[in-house]
Amino acid sequence: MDNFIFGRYMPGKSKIHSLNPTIKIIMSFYFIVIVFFANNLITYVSLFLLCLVALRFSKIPLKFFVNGIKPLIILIIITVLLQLVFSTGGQTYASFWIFKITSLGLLSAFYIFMRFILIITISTLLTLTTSPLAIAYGIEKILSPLKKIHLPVETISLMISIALRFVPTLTDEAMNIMNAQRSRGVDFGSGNIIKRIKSLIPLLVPLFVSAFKHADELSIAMEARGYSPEMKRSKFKSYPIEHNDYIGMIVILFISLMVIFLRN
Amino acid sequence: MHKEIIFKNVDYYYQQNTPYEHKALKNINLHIPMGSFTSIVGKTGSGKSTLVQMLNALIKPTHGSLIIDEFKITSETTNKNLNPLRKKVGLIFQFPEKQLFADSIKEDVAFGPRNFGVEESKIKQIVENSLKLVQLPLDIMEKSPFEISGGQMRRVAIAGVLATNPEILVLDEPTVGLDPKGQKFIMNLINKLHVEKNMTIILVSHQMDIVAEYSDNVIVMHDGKMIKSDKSNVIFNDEKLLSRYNLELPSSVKFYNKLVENNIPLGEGVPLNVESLSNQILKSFSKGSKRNG
Repeated sequence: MDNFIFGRYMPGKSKIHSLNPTIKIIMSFYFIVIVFFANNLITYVSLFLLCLVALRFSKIPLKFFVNGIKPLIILIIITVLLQLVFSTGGQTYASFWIFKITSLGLLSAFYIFMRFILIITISTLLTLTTSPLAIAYGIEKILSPLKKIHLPVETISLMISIALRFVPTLTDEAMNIMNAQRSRGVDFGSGNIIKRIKSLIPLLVPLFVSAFKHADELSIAMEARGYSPEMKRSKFKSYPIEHNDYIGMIVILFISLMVIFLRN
Repeated sequence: MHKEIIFKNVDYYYQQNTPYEHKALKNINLHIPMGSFTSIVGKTGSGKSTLVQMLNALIKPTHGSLIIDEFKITSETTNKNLNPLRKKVGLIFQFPEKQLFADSIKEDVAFGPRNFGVEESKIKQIVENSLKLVQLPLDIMEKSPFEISGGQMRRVAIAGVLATNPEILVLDEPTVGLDPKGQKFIMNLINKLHVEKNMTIILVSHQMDIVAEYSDNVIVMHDGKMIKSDKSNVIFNDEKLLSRYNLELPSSVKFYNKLVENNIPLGEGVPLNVESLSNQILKSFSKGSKRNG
């Protein structure tokens, strides 16, 4: 569990870290869309290379990254296996009862595998190199056109950043409560399913109590400092668009054109 | 059978082999005698809480080993069959009231003993005894633990740990956030358990007055390392050591030092509580009056 890095942030000062968060989020989504356009070896490989280059620039150790996304491998393998044994067409290599391994099956299993890897890599890279606050800022910017239809975009972004801000706090809290209950003899994660679910009650009840307490205290603190959702707010941190952002956009545009030309 | 708790070359690294790696404990070697009242002091982040969690095998040494009686904990210890150890070592965390969860106070106190397999017929008696120990009236037993005051919640939580009848009681800042009266109550309770039931007490605290007054031994931690472990009068006599690690002197020692600075002769040995300080002052005065008269 300690190695699991999906959704975590790793502070740093690399070129990828310092990209404008709005542009970084848009580029990541754009990349995911392109992944679905790729449909042959060369396109997948070029997208994969792009991921590797981005990873290199982010200065995140490759070994750490690979270890971090390993827990997701099981999910990938199950999906790939399903694809492998259930899709039909092309030449049949082996068959067993209702399962058949065919050339088309192999191919689509490979594609699914690549898609998973690419999407997980790029989204993990996004969260690893972008602080939660920067992500909230980026989402606010992306949603800002919706202000025209009176959507409370700033409030939504504040909600997101508060939620993200409290993830580590509540994780710590959960760890503490778990330890306290374990020392009172609770064995989390053993026994049959009913016993396991029952053992969660001594964890969840205190966790909810503390989450409500945090929310209550935070709302009082905000009101005491005169928070009002209608006020125009300034930002403590600014995220200017720099050279690297343009370079990033040009690279990803180039790759996407390449994918469209090279696909079958 | 060891009559000691022994830490042997214990290291602990959080998130080993990742960029987040953090060495919380570095080569800890310690002997804590059974039946003693030992305090662990040090700044925030010095590794005290990590050390405490290890006593219950909530975390295991990255290197080295920890021996508590017949139990040996190393990095290879599995998570199975740890309950006998956890029954032996009761752990009261910071803000223990956070662990309350049951419908009634009675159920919450009974939770630990039930998990450790105590017979249902004995549970009622255990719950009543534990609540009596922390001096809560028995008629609140049926109430929800969330409708009593903060100080009472802490007492219920402590009763919940005492109900498991541990031989070693480990407390992480048990008095934090309580008023002076509540602090006094908790410390007297702990001292009573130590004296009357010969319980081994391991106390983590920032409050030097409390540490000085109650403990036999003091362990000074700094930056994951054990700096010194000695009798409490030796530690509190060493002003240099304490100031070097940003630890306060107990107020009785401060007062003693002020008097000595002003050439008021007091006996050898720093007083560790107000009572022995006043005794020393009284003695010095009676000597002085003899000399003058």
